[in-house]
Amino acid sequence: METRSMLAQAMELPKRKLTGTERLSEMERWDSMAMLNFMALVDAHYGVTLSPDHLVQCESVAEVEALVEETRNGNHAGVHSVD
Amino acid sequence: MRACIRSIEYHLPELVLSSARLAEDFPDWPAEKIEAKTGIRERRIAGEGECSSDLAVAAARKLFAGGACAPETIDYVLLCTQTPDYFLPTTACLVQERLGIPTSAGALDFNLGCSGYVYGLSLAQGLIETGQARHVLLLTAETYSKFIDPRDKNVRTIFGDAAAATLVEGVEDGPPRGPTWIGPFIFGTDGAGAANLRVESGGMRCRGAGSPHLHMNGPKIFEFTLRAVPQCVGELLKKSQKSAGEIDRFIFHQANEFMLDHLRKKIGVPLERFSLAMRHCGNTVSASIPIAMKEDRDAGKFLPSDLAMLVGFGVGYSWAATLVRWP
Repeated sequence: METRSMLAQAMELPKRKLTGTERLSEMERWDSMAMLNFMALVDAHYGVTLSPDHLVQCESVAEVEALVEETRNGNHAGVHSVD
Repeated sequence: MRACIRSIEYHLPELVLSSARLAEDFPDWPAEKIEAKTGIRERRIAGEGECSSDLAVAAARKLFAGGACAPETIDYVLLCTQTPDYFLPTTACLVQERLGIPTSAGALDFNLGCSGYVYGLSLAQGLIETGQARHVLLLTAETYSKFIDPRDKNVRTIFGDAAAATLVEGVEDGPPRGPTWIGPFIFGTDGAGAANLRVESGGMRCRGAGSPHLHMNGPKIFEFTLRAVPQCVGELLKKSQKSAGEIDRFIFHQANEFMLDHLRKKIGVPLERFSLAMRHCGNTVSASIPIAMKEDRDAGKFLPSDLAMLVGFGVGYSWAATLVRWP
């Protein structure tokens, strides 16, 4: 599942509703519950835990996608799962 | 002397806060959504004048009425709460008097949240196995509802009030020494997370200032849990030289179903060996693990021969895990 699909699922939106240009701060559905959902999806899918401090700073879908990539590559302060 | 869990009972206050009632206050969260996310249908809320000691006394009376032991035999009371009746005196002292526990008994409160039950078992075992006490009454009692802002759906949908009473008893053994009923333990503490689950007002640092309400940063707590719990489980298995397959029952702090379901899958525990016991009472902080143990025992899911892993985690941050048998 790609990051944008996970974001849409976390916010309970159809995937096609997210174009990638939205300002997350202007989306009512981007609340703490949606962030939790998104963190859980990313953890389950990629085995990495996003930093909530960095996630909350993301202004756009593209920035969230970049954060996920950076965390997966170990270039961010995200925490890798201990399995 | 070996410490052993002899009996567990719990008490919930009468007032019910249903998900349907919460949905009236939070129209964008229908009852079905609240239940699906939290796994909670009802929370119990302490009355205006109903305090932690009242819930603890009711739970303990149920334990005595069940024949576990008489109040006169208790020689130590450990009471875990973050919502004491007073700053002072100690809530355990109030409970000693109301239950008719002898004045020769020791009694103390300790302030921990969701990890409190596992820490309490550790303290009880220490008292018993060093010969300082023989019948320890471990009480975990919380009324978090008194801290909750009614407009805060993130915490109001999750927390419920409750108390649990556990009799931890010394059993003669050896030589050679018999089986261990409780332990080993893994502990963890990280005060760097203090601000993520906190009530500021009322303590000395923020007297007359700060928020009187429970503040919870959900994403930060989730991040902590994803980091700490799987690691803690792994460390306990290593320390006890057990494999996950040898654990009959996994009883975690009943935070909420969303979090527990994710942790369960991440750690790889089959659903049939994983305890979920919050639908009728919510997240009851330090009472959640003994409530789940009792519910599982009554439902035939936690047998006297079973080995259970208990994991508590939350406010502090604080966490702890142990293995127990409840014969």
